[in-house]
Amino acid sequence: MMRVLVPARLRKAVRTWFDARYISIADHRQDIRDALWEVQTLRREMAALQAEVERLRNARPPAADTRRAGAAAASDKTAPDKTAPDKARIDDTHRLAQETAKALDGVLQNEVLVWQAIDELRSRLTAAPTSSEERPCV
Amino acid sequence: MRVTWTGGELGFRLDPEDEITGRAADGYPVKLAINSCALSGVPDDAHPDLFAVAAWTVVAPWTRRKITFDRAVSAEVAAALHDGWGIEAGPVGAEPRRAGRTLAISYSGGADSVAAAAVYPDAPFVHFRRVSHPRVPNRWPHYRSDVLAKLAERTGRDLTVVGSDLEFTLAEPRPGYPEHHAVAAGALLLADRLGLGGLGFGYELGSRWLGGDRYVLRYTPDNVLWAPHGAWGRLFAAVGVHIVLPVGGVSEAVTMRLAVNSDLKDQVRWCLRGTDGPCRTCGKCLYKELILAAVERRPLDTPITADRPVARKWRLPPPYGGQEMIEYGLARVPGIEHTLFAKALDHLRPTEESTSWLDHCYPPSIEEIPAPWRERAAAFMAEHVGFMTDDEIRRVETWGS
Repeated sequence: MMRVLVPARLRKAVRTWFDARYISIADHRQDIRDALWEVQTLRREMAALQAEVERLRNARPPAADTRRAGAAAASDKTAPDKTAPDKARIDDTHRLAQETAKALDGVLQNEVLVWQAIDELRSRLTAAPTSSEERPCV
Repeated sequence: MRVTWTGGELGFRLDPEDEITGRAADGYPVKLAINSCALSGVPDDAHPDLFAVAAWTVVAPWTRRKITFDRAVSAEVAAALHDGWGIEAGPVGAEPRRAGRTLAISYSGGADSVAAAAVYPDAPFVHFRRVSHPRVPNRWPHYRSDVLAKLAERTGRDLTVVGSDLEFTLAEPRPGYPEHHAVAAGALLLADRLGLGGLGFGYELGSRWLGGDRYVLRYTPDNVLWAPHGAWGRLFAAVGVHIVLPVGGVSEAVTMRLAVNSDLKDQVRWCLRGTDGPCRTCGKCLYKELILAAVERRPLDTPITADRPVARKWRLPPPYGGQEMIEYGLARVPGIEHTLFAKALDHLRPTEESTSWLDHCYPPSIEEIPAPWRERAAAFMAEHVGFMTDDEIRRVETWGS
């Protein structure tokens, strides 16, 4: 190996030139801080997304069954304001569906009873003596 | 009651003494929803007695005194209705239908009917498929009758699917068969075409002999629904379609074992809700899981926790429907004391010895199978199950006393 004596000034100039090609320690520190900040932001976003997934997952069954909606909404303390109007609307829709179905049951049953009454009247009319020429239409 | 068939459409009118609230064969009050229903894929030229009995499976609960059919029936059917229900039936004037030679299975796809099918590997299937009623809103869309029909198709058996909305004639307690026998309405109308002499059902020991379903805890040799000498048995016999219970002598543990070991094991489905498989969360899935775990001798595998509404009845004291099977499961499932059945276990305290009779076949059930099909069932039970000893027979006959 050959060693060459280089003047200190030149050596310093060369070294400075070399160092300039690399990032400073201060810049490195800043970069690391930035990366860390980035990671923390991402972590917060992940947590928010997970909470959203959880919220949606919890929100689905109460939509199918309003009896559980109350319990789910009560336990969901993170967003009571958001679920409350949903729950009211779901409850109302459920109530309306139940009442409509019940009312329709009554209509259909009444129809059966109306036919029963019509048939009874009809049989009375046909059984009645036919002396009178005038008979209502049957 | 007056009934009219137009092709496969049934319409009926109440007589003055009939009411919206009627009673099913077991005395249970049932409310009428609507007075029409239809069956698809059935012939319109079936024997008049077949039309009459098919109609009776729907209208029986709401008929108080007499029934008038739109075509004359045989004196035999009129007599069966009179003797069984005290109902005047007419007009009378047809020759009775003669029994055919074929036994078909009323196939639901559940473990019990799969087991019944395993007894008769060549028997054709008739599958009842619920469809919506055009005038009654379907508030039960979770009932996946389409899934069950697809599974039935995959069995590879000779299969006839009958679609019907007749369950919607029942308003309360909920849509369902007005009488259990309404599941056979389609098979009855097809009886001439299929040459039927018998119709096999999956009703097992609990339903036939231990007063299953809405009856609990009593020995029922004269079961009004399923005994051959009961009202329904005699009515079906009068139209040459004998009620056959191939697995009427074995418990649901045996039918489960037979089903999961049968050629049709991949098509077994007792759950009405699941699509890709049983839902695992309904009461029926829980009950069948207890039985399956007992048969497989493994711990209970269920997502249902003790606080769920479907688990509620297991916190209450007995009697339970299907209690013999609950006892069977409690005695055999490892770790059952740490599950939602812990309370039931405290009440019943069954042992393997006290429930071992449920592993064998009750011989009188074979004797009541009509002659043409008896030997096959007897041989099957001897080979795959084994018959009860006298002591075990006594367990059946003293059940609930």
